[in-house]
Amino acid sequence: MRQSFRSLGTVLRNALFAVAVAGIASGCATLPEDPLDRADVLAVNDPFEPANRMVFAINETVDLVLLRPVAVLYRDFMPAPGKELVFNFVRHITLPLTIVNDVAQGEWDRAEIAAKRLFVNTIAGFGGVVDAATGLGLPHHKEDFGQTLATYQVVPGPYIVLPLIGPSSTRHAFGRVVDVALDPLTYLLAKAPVEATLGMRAVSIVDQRYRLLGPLDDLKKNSLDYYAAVRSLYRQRRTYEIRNLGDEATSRSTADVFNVPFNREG
Amino acid sequence: MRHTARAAAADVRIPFLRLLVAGFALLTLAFATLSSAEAGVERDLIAGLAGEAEPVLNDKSIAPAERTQKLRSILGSVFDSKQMAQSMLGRYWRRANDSQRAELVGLMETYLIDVYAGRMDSIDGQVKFDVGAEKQVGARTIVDSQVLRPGSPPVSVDWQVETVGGKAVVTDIVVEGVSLVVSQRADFASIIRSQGGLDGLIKLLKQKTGG
Repeated sequence: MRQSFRSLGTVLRNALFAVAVAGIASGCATLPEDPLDRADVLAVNDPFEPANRMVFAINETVDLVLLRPVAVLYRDFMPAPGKELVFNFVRHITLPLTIVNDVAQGEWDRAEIAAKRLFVNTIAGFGGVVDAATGLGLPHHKEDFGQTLATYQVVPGPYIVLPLIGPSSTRHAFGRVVDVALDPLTYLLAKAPVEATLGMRAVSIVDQRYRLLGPLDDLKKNSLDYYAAVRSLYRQRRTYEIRNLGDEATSRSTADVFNVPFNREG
Repeated sequence: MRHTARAAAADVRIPFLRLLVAGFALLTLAFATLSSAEAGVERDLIAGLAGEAEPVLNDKSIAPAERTQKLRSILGSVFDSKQMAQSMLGRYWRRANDSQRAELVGLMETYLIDVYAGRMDSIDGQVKFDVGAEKQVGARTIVDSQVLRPGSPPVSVDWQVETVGGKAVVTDIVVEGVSLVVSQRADFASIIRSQGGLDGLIKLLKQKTGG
């Protein structure tokens, strides 16, 4: 009896494993024969490329019919001062999460800057729509849990394109989920009407898409394989952000980019 | 303002290309204002590029076709297309035969210069520029710099200059952490792997450059 339970368990486990493998394999690109080509494909670290390309295409369609047109309207009809207020606010509401992640990374100085910035702009910046802090030597920066994991040497894992959200890695995607739980705003807004949270999300997305209008149009026009170009740029930017090279709250030189072999498409 | 904008650049997920656009031209302009007394050969190269590009970019009375032509020739004089083609193609370059190589260098030169001239062309407005230190990384020299424009996020642009055959040439440009060579390498490799190897790439580049 006991024996048969055990074998049933084994059968089930094997079956599940087989299903999982089949599922992964069906979405996977096949590896080339040539060892050098094979190494290249592995370095790109996009085993789900066929599935990713499919999601990418769907995201592109959504972007084309919905997001991009909204961003264009925003560009054309929102006056520049309005855009600035929105931009300041959108960045402001990311600060609580940044502080949590700065602390988790042991970056005390940066946590302090972010906390002071949050305080100053909430009070003197009318709830964050005006940026009074930067002029006081409290520049903005942003951290998320994916970056925190990176500082603990967690590898990024394969590239994945998330529905609607876009380019990511397994580490980054996992980090996004944890961020929802880590973000003090989640709890602050827990009792607020759901429209408040959705509205903030929507404003952030429109602001970000507006900022990407030029770059993405240019990239689409000039790249040969838009998907591969976006993948490479996502990785390079992410590396840059993780190393805190892209913000003023750091003393590291951007020339350090050249010192890291893994930055060069690894 | 400067800080706001600087941080803005870091905040946007992928601001690279607009920055690339802005950075390249503006940096070029800004270099013109530098004293080259303390500069090495590498900086002189960029300063020279700037000195030539500045009047072309500032003078909006020049006809568009003429301006594009001028920018192309200026860029052509500092870009080392062969070196760039080699590093962008990696080992595919070693596999290429002589006629493919010749064709690729020519096509890439046209392609890269077209793209950059187009990007520079689309820029207007005033520019302020901070030049950072010149830095030695192995055999390469990195001239690191910051481009500031009113109302736009400042842009970090690093120039990689190498000496090829006794001549200092630009072999990579890194804008806000995004390397031209790394980006193109990824784009080209994907085409080579999935769309008919080097000949597939050559065909696509011909389409892109209208050749």
